[in-house]
Amino acid sequence: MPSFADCSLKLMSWAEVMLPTAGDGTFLSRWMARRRPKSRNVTLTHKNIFIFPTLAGWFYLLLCVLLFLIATNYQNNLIHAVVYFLLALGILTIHYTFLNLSGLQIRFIKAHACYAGELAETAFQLVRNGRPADTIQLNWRGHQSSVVSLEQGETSVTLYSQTQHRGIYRPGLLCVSTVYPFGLLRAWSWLEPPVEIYVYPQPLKGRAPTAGGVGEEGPEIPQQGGADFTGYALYQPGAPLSQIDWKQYARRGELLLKQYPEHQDKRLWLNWQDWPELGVEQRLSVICYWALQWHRAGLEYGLSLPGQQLEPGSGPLHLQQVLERLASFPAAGGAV
Amino acid sequence: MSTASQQISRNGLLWQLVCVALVVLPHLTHLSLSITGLVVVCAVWRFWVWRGRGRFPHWAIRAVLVLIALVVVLTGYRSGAGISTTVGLLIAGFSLKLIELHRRRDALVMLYVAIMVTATTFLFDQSIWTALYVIFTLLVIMTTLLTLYSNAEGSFWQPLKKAGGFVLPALPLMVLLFLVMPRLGAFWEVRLDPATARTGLSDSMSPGDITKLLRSAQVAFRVSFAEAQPAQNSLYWRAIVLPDFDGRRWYNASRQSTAEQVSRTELQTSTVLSYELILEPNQKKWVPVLETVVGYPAALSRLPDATLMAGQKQLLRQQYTLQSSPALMLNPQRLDSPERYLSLPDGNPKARALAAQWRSSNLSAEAIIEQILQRYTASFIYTLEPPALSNNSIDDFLFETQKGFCGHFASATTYLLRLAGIPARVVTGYQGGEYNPFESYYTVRQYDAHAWLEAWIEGRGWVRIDPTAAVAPERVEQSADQAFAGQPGFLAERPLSALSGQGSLLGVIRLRWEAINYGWQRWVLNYHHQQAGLLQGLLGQVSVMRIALLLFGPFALVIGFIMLRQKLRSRLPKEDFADRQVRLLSDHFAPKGLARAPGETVRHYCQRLSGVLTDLQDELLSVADQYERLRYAGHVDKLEQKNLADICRVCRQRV
Repeated sequence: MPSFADCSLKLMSWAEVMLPTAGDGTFLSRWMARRRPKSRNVTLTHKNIFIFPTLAGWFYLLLCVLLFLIATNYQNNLIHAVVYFLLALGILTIHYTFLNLSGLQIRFIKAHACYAGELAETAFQLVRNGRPADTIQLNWRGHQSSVVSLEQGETSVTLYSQTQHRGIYRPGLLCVSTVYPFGLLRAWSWLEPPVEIYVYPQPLKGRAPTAGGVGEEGPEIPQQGGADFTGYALYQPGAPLSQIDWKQYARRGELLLKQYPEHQDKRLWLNWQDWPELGVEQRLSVICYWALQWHRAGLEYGLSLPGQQLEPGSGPLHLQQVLERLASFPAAGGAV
Repeated sequence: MSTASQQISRNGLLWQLVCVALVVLPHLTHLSLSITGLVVVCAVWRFWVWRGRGRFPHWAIRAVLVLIALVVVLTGYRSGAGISTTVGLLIAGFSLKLIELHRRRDALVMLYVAIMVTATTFLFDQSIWTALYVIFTLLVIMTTLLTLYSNAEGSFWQPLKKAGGFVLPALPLMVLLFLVMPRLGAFWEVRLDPATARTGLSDSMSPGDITKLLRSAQVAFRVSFAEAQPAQNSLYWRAIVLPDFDGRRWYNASRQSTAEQVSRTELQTSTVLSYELILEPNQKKWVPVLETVVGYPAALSRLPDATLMAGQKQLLRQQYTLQSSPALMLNPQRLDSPERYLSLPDGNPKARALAAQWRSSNLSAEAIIEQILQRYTASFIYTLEPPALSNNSIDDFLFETQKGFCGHFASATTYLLRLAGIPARVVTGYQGGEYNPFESYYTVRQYDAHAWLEAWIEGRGWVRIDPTAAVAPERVEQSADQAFAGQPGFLAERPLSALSGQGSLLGVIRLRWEAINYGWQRWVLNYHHQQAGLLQGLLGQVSVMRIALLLFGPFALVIGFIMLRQKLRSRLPKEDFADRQVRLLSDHFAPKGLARAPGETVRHYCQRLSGVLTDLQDELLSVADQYERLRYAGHVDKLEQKNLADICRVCRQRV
């Protein structure tokens, strides 16, 4: 049972309502930052739940005062009774609202990478040993909220946050709050789960790379059924579907891959040096565009950035590696 | 916050409409017809929108409706800015809000106003039924509030159940706060509406006045005595003394308080009756008391004629603790301004002749009074429908019609006594009352109104004379409803009187019910008068500290109960039968390092096991089959359950 002192402490920290990191560096904000749970799996207790009346709650109080005036002036004991009913319910609602949040376990499941400007998705699981919770609202600070209820004591929820820039995005503070049951009070908790989301550069169509890295000539997109066709190889799982010779498959029932020897020789490179006329972010965007193009074409390609190099490869895992390298590339100003 | 969560759910809107209906219903008695019409139109319109049959009204229509509502409210109540106008305005406002109700904020405004309006119901009616009704209405309002903040789309009744769980624990706390929280005095003077005005004794009396009161069974006041119950025929509740007469009407030209205090000796020499009086609002300053009042609250003052007067008109129900000493006489030796009690206008020659005859024969005051009462007993008739009287009303009554009731008898007797040189004055008030044995109190109703007189007799002071007792002794011996039963004119406004049937089962039920009502009046509606004594008895000594302690205990108890209820709800759901079998298997193999890994499917686990325990391969695979069939079949098959249990047991026994 949370003591009354705890509750009053929570009531005092009203600044947390508007500004969770109010006045960075002040005593209050440091104190609050210390209280903020920072792990992937957090259980909400009276140590990290705050509670304060909402605007509607203040109006409720005003209503009580108004009715008290009427009751006193008309010496009407039954209206007094109504006032005391409302007050008693208001006091109990502090506990109802608090209990709706307390004991709730919030587990970070996974984050999905996205391109700059898209909504980043993060998935959480909410669990409370068998006890339902009603109408819990979750949102990353400054982003839209999702509302869930734990009918059977657990549920999962996906949060969305608008990304702006390429980079490694840390959504930062997660607010878990509830105004249930009567909207008179808001109980909330600020969490700081260690979530990092790769935000890939927004693909930008640009000039094709001038140099093919090792080879001298510029890379080309292979033409289907082109003159350079040298023979067949047996299909292996993971090979791009575009290289399968479907006619042969129809005829013989065998999956065969068409071989283009020049592409095995001339390994493609996405080279930072190829676009000297572009700025850092634009360059990354163009590289991203070509990486996606070549991935779709089923080519093997490598990535060469200042100070780091990724050997050529293909397939979705390779693409993810490439995009992650792009996302984590230091920004022009310095650190990401 | 997303806008989607600000929408009102469909069930929520239905609840909103139920709220409106419940809140407005008890106000229909005083609400003007046009406001009622407005509420119905708005509610039906919103319901139509809810059904998908109509649209929200155009802003121009809304503007017109607002205008109509304003005009109706401002003109419909001619009485001006009374409380019912205010309530009418609130109701008009929130019914208009109804037709633009689609977001949570609109609904919130409406619900808060609804709480307000439902509380004001008590300004018009404070019966037990109304109280129960208002509690139910508050529950529904809270239910509706819940639907605004809950995203669960369940059945229509589910929110009511949930809200009930939240509201119920608040009720004992409400009672506690009601008992303990101190009450303040009124901040400014309030006006009640004419609608709630009551009939009652007026400040003057012409003989016919009292019949109006006899038509009404409204309660005038209730009294409970601390110890002994005085006899019915000694209960003369003096309200106003009327010493001045203008030929038709008795009145009191100078009813002013004097700072006269009861001396100590007064109290010591007499037996004192203590009683508690709950006076219904009478819009007057008088307070009915037994003679002679010696103890009274500071809010009242005592006049030289031993009646009490309130500082201002009593617009609200009042409760007074009073003490009277029946044997005591205020200043029996001295009569101030005797000429006031002897002066008479001209007229009534026959009466004058009669009085002159008495004076010439030098009769004593007692003998004259005896003469007058004997005349009444001989030939006068007590009736509630007396014939009309001419200008010489006293002569007419004494020598012509000889029919009348208490007002006529008191008026004529006082007149005769004054003519005979005996100072006399008319007293109006109430006589008797109905005793309720269940709660030991008297109910005095308007039909108990009475008029009698007092004569000044040397050495004895003011002596009460009730000529009605001489003509119709039953009026004084019994309560009015028994004495008058069958008389035309009595309770003419209540043709089917619920008050009849004394002694019968119905009568007993009525008395029981009235006893409950009296308790309600005394302990709830007038609780502020009992509060100090009750707290004193409970705490010994009333201090902020002790009150805080008294509050803390029950609050902690209720909150503890809520916590416990939450704890009990958090028990894990019952384990599924198939899950239990697999868990037993896993527990059995755990010492060998073959427990089921978290997140591992049963099929995968069984395959992993059978890789190690090769001789159990078939059994383990059928465990996986059975498990999947049981878990995903959607219905419970007893035979398959038994099969699974058997195979699992075999597996455990073999290893």
